[in-house]
Amino acid sequence: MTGRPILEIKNLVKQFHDEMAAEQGNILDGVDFTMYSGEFVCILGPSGCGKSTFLRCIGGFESYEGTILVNGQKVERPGTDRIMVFQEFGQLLPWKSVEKNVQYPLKVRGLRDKAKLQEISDTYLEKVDMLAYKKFYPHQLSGGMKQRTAIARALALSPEIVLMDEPFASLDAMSRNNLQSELYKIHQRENVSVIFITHNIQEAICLGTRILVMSKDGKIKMDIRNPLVKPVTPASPNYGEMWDKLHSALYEMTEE
Amino acid sequence: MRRKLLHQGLFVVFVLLIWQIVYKWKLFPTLMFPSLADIGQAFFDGFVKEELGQMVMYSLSLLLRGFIIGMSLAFLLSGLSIMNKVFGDIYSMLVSMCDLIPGVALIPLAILWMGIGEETIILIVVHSIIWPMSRSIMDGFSSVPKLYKEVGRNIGLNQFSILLGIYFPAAFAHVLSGIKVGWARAWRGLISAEMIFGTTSSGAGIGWFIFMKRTNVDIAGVFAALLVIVAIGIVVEYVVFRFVEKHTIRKWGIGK
Ligand SMILES: Nc1ncnc2c1ncn2[C@@H]1O[C@H](COP(=O)(O)OP(=O)(O)OP(=O)(O)O)[C@@H](O)[C@H]1O
Ligand SMILES: [Mg+2]
Repeated sequence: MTGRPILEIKNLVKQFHDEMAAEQGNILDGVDFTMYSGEFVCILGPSGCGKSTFLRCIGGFESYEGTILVNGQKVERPGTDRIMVFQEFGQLLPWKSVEKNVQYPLKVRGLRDKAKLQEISDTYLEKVDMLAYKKFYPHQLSGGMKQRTAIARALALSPEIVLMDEPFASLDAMSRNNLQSELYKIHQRENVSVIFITHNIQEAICLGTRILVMSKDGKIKMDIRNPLVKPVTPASPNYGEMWDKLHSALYEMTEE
Repeated sequence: MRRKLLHQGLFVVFVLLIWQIVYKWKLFPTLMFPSLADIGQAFFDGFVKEELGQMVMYSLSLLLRGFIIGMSLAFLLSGLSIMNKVFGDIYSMLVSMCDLIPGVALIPLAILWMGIGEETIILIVVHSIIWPMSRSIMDGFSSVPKLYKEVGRNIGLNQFSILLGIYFPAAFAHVLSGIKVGWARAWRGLISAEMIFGTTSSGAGIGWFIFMKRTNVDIAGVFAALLVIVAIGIVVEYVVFRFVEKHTIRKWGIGK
């Protein structure tokens, strides 16, 4: 099901130009990465290694050196073809109710039909189990509920690439499992490509068709296909092997 | 809320009582210190026998026109300063400088340059509100979280629509406090201008009423006019502003 290259990154270098920059050196140091349409890429890596920065560069939120091409177009600014679900909770617009938060980007895109807007927002809020709260305002929601709404907002736009920065980190195990399977279904059905940052090895194995491990020095240390057949459970064949491989890659790094 | 109103109400009754006692004991000459009944009578006469009602309407119409012009300009110019760095730098300096000049101090100049028409009074009103409002709006704009702006750019808002779609609502608490300050300043600017101008070709306002009453040593009349000013202020504060607050920043759970 994977097809044409949708995202091509060559020799990506990122440095923050502030007083700390010299100390920090390159946050991303010559990253090469090609993603094919329909892939579900999970990124693992120790805290502070530059995962969010990598995602933000792809999203067009940061200046960078090197090339990032989306469908052959150089990334210079954010766009609706790459929708970001940020790591922070405060990404919903507080002056809009849950459903208006989901509808607003669609309106911006030019969809005016009220019934259609309602239908789309209901559909996606249902998927993230937020339909009952559609009239709530963000300040009335818990952190996890906010993240779920942000996911609905991103998916409702049906972008080509969804960029997700630890979207499930704040959820309990049950809603996490539900959302993982919902997300995977949406990915399958709508053939949307996903880049998904997580700290959780199991989550990476369950969701990813491909898994990257980033190292502290801002490089991609490991880039492997995930051959496990979905839905993955810890009982799936080769699960343990995969887990060990990723775990040792991560663990080695923290040792260094 | 009830409690607060009760306390405030009791305080007003208390002050009125003291007033009446001071009057009864003749601590001051009656000419300078009228009884509550005199003030009430003057209030009544002002509206029924004299043209206080018309004058109030005239003042309000000037105020409203100046307010709308000043507010629109403040929005426009503050918006421009967000969109253009150079303009922003210059405008914020201009705001700091002009905000220091009291409206009354401009009246001699305004009269010399523009004569004593309505436009001159409106100009004074505009001057009294445009600078404090611009200050609040720009403060508000510069404290808009980066995340909202990124979300706005991500969902495809352009430079102009991001101003209306993100900056304005996100800064609404500041905008509102700017409107409050602007409203109070505008009232003061207006009354001072009216007192100095007397009547313009098209009508006379409350300021003029006060001035006339003073000339005739009708102190009860002066108090009646002050009462009108306070009453209008209270209605705007407790009815209009409260209403707007309830349906915006309180509903959204944002505040300064
Ligand atoms: N705006 C910034 N200015 C300067 N340095 C930054 C900025 N944002 C991130 N950094 C630095 O870049 C490095 C990588 O940060 P990043 O947020 O990408 O890490 P991460 O891999 O997402 O970590 P986590 O898993 O904890 O979210 C950190 O060392 C951080 O200090
Ligand atoms: Mg991060």
